Amino acid sequence: MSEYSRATDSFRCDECSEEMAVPLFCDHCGTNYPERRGMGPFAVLGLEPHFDIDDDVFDQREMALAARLHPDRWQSRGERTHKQAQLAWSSVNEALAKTKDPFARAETLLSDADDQDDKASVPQGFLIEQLELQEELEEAVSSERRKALNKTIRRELKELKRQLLGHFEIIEASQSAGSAAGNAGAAAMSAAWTVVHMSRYWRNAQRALRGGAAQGN
Amino acid sequence: MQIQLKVKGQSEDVVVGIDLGTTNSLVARVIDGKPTVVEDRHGRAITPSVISIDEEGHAVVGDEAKQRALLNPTGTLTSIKRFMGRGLDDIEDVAHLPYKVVKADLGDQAAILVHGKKYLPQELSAMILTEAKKRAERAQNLRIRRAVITVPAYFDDAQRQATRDAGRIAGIDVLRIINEPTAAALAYGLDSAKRGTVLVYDLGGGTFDVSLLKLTDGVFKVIATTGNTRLGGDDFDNAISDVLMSDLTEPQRAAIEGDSKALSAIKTASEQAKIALSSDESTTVELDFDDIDVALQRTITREDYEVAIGPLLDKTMTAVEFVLEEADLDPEDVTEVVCVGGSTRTPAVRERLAKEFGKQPHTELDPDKVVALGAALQAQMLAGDGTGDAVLLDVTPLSLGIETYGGGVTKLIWRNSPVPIRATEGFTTQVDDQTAVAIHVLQGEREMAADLRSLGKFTLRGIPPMSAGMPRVLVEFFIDANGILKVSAKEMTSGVKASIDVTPTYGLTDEQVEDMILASIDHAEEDIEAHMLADKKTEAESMLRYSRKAMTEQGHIVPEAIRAGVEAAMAALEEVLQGTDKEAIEAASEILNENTAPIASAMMNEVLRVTVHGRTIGEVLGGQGPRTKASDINLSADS
Repeated sequence: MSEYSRATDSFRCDECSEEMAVPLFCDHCGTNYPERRGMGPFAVLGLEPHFDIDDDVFDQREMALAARLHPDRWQSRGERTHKQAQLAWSSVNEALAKTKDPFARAETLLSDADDQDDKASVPQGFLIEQLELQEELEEAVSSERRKALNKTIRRELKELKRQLLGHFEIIEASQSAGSAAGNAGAAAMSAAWTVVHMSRYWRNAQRALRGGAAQGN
Repeated sequence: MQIQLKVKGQSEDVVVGIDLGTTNSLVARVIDGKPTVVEDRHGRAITPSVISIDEEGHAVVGDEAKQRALLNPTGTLTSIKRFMGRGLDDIEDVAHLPYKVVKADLGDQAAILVHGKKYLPQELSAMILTEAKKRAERAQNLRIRRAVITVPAYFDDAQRQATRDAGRIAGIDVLRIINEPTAAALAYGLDSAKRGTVLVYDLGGGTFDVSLLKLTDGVFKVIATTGNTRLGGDDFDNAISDVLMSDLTEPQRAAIEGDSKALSAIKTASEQAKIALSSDESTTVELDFDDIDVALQRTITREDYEVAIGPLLDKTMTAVEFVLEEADLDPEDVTEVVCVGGSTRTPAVRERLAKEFGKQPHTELDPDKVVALGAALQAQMLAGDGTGDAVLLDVTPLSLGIETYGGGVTKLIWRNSPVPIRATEGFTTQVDDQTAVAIHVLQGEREMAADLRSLGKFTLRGIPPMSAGMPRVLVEFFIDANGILKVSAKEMTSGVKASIDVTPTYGLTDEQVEDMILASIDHAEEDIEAHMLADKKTEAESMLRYSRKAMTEQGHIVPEAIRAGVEAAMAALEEVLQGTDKEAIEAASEILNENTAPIASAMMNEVLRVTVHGRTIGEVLGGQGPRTKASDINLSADS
């Protein structure tokens, strides 16, 4: 997976010709490139768009970029440059938010490849299961039960992530074979969308569980 | 006799870290790469976050205010931090407070009523900041313009904004608002570790925080944080108070609760008992309230104490489990545990942490000072060229959203998102030619607007008149590195920048802050002038008194000509003392000082002669009291 962790092109600053940490802002001379704001999140981070990327890759990338780009490093370089550094860094944060979490990453990749199909349906049985879970969450459940529920949610999300890995293997293989519209690829994409949708239900349940705990103060 | 002159010289401009605490505030700076807490001239590092306001509205801050707690119970304010950016409804435990909390004149925020006047928490915190700043400045001839101020990690936008405003009112350029646990980890130099996960357990006077930080090669990242803005050492004190009062009858308890002096005394005794129980196995409290005819005697063992605070400790450990869960970590994954806050001196706290994590928590640094030390390091970094030091990556502690039709909420930024971060949301109009849209910004985790904390209402104006649904107003929410929200808006089809009127629910508008800054500067100048004049007058009057005394008792030891000179100088000084001309008083004092020098030196000889016979300097100078005042000694030794 590591061969995918760095994008091939790196950007050089038009002003000072130094290699930039991100394409949006030169961390040597402070030149800003607002026209590149629309770049995809993988490009902002300098990563190849790809599903199977380890959490550590994002962590390392974030830490390395922070060391060069974080606005605190630019606090004494004038208000304007500081503001631009803040914007550049907030773009890095946004890019991370769209790529680091596997389900967000899947959604980003799927939306890029196929912008129409966000309508994949989830199985009926799954919906009923979720409705029951929601009812249970609304009742005041004991802390033991909450812990157990949390464990279940974590296990289910792990399983969904495993499924996504399989789907993307097929999607990416069919893409590189130049047959994105091929049957296997299309079926895998639809299945991946379903997984993304299912993950949302679990995430909501997780938030409801945590939100309840956070309100305890 | 001599007047001491202030050393005039270039004062050093420094950046500092300020821990604006619930019970105590501290200032620290970096000297030769090492963070150090700044002590005042009396060697005090801590400024108690206490304000005492008398009936005329004069305020004193710090130790002096603390001393007045018993004499002025309704005018002595503690735990101001709890009200920062809060509404009246948010404040629990009003019964335990010896002073009155009311609704402020503006917005929904809480204000404190003292002798008929309302004070905002930001103004009161600014008084504390000013006092802490002044102490540090005077002690080391410094000039403090810029500072990093710390807040609990769990502080929401309104609370951070209130802290920032307090800094501005106190005339401080606030470089950053940083989280206390992050500051603590910095102070421990944990950034030098290659990588690891740090849990910071911060149990202060009035707030509890727990944060998880991940560090890699000098970059700190707060990965999860939670806490309780209404739990702290004060609650430990209250738990002890409850134990102390448990033997009393219902009428006796009611009598104490109705007597603010008695309440203050119980609070002080409880605090002392808590401190004693950190090292002793038991302690006895004896209090007599003659006014209300109640006497109280109770021995508290460490076990009583641990039972009483048990539920509080459980609450903190629930929060610890919560952050671990949120970060998807187990206790074994935590490489270091750091203790912050005076309440972590309680052995039961440390034992619970050691048990949970299977390792001893860090307690090498003074848990009361560690936050200020870390803030100083961060201030130094921000003021410097920003290279080669630790970088802090913070997260926003609460989700941010906007109210939707029907009282729901759309979340735009989720809790624990790294900051700075942006979110945009499109709005449109409901009726034709509508030119304004109202947006209600909310913070919190619940799903209904009514359950969330209102940050403020924004009104977008200047939308070009169009058919309903046509305008596309893009509103950008930007949470900056301080965790403070900024909002901007643009109508996309016309490109018109919509203007935004902000009505903060708990904070102050920029204009209100400006007014407060101006008011404090005006007063500061008046105050300084008035103070200097009063100081000079006091000095001159005491000089006159001593001169007169010296002339009556010792005048015979100097020639007539000198006596005449002194008389003339005394008359001249008395004359100018009628007026308010500071320079004239100063000059006349100086002349008197020169004229009395010969008497002083003659007296000095006399002193030396008679001291041999066993008399003290004070007695020689005519004092009846057994003790010698420092100023008396100066008076003769200077000449």
